[in-house]
Amino acid sequence: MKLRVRVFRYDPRVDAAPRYQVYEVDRTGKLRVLDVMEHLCDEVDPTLNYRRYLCRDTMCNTCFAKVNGKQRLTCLEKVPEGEEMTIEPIDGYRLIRDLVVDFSAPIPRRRRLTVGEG
Amino acid sequence: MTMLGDTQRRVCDVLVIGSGAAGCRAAIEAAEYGARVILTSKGVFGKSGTTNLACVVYDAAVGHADPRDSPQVQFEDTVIYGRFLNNQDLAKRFADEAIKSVYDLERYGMEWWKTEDGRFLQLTSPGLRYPRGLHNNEETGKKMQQALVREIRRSTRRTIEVIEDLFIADLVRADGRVIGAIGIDYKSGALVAIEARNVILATGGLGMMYSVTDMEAGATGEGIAMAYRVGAELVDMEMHQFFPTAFVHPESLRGIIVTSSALWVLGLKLYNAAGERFMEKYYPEEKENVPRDILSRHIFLEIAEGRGTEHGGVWIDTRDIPNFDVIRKERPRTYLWKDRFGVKTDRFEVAPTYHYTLGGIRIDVDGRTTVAGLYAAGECTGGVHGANRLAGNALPDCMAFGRVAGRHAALHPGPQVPIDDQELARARRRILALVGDAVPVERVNRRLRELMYRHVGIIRSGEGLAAAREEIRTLRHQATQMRTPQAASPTFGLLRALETEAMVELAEVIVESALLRTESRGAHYRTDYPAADNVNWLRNVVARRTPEGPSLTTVPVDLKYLRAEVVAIEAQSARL
Repeated sequence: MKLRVRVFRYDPRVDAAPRYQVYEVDRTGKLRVLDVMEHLCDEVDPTLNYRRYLCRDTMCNTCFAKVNGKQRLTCLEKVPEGEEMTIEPIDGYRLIRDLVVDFSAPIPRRRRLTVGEG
Repeated sequence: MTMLGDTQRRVCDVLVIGSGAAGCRAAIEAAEYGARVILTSKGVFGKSGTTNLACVVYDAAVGHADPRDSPQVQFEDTVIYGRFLNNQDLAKRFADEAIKSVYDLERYGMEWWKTEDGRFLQLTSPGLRYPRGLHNNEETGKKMQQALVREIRRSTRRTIEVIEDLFIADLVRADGRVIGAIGIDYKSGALVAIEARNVILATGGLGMMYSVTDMEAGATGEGIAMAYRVGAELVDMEMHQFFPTAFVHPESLRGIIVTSSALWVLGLKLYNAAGERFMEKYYPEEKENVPRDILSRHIFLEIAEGRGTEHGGVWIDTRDIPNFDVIRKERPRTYLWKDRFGVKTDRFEVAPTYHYTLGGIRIDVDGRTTVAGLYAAGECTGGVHGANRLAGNALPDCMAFGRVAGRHAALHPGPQVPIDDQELARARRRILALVGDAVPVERVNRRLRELMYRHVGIIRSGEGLAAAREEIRTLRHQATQMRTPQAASPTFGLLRALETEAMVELAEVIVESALLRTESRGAHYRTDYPAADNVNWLRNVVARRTPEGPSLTTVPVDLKYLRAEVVAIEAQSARL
């Protein structure tokens, strides 16, 4: 079965505005959103920026992304049902590129996901 | 805009590369002795690195659980478990530093689990004479990392500047001495030159060179490769520890370990697909309660010889562990959270996973490498643990050698030598050579990792290693052609290409070292030489880089503190 993954792309150094890029992947035995992202970065599009130095087992708490609009730890998040999934960077931090945010540069907001002491 | 068009220059006394436990501890100690320190992390500071993933025990012979324990006993346990391949000076230094490091961490705010009357709770695990493992449940490494980060961020007297998302690509050498490093600043997109009077590598292990590993995804070994490229010696590079029990199914969880070794003592049972409790055959008394290398080997063989499960594992049965429900609840990461991926934690499939890099950069008791101006600490080094590492000895190793390297580097500053523009231009050319019309990096990366797991992993043979040598030659050639696609700013794809280059170079060293060691010892098991050979092989394999490839020599292990037990070990090895 195919899965369409809509991914937020933006390099503030050069791009005028963000855009969404659509990738089509096979649903495989891998279950997690993180697995899909690793597959995209390694095999499909190495220019896609998604944090890579991750523990992949709920300890580092830096694999956060918005999955269909909801902020999720992608190593704990199963790929949602349906044909399409949208992946965006989490809110509240300065964006470096694509899905990668700068956890050292929080943007003051009313509600913010706490990553510091997770 | 071209990639790496901008250049930044930085200056410090001590540059620490890597921000796991060893790097953080080294930075704190160097700053304590008055050095201006730059600490770099290739990911998020305090979040990347394998320290966070270290699950349970931290061995230090504080003797609270059993007053007979002492640094001498810890040293002896370490050397016996390491099959006498350890550098005994390093192992001794390690054991002597371990207790102090517990209180250092406590001072930084680390919470240890304690008894009601305030003594440290200490757990036992295979290979320990007395219970020695201090802990904070399944989050020992994480709590430790947090304490170290807090200490570094304390503003009162530290002079440590942290630069995160900085990928160090090369060490720079002048007149036989390391004078700094050049890296890629992922955030700003610039090429950065850092001049330092001394450099400390604390870059961790190389688990990502194997297709199945429990390590953090940044554990790719390029720190070890960088040291090798500037002429530092590597030692025991054939030694790689596998953790016997990691999930194999579902695919997403493959390689993630099932904590902890204590379960083997408590009554965990292993069955093959036919329902036989296979460890009984080999160890009627100890059964599953045997050292890691032995358990890994038997599980691997069980699977390799066709008695594995559908998904290539063996069954773990936890149902006879007393109070397992309590353990399960206390360790949600290992057990409860796996439920959502369909794992039944009373009975599930496991197989060995790459766990710890035993070999690495050769250091002395002050953390000095064989190149002036370059130090190393933690998992990127070799020699402390010999041919097999005890559960709970990894974290105190980071703390011990982080401290000694940090202090020595601060107290013995080299000259401040500018990194000239030519060096920067050379580094830029080397990096940008990997950018172009895409020739997938992944092809080399994946093939290498699978090759390493298959032929250079738990079970080796002269034949398999020779095949690996041939294939690595091909991969070396392919690595010169791989290209990551052009982009305006540095990508993780580019970093992965640099890592893959380093991996291929290190793979050569690992295979050659494994071919040279014609015996079996600890983590190194060869079917064509299945016994330990204490007459010829109480020796370390030392590798140095030459233009023609690795040049290997062997040096005898100096059994200066512990010798008598060699006999006992011989008796034990005969049974393996």
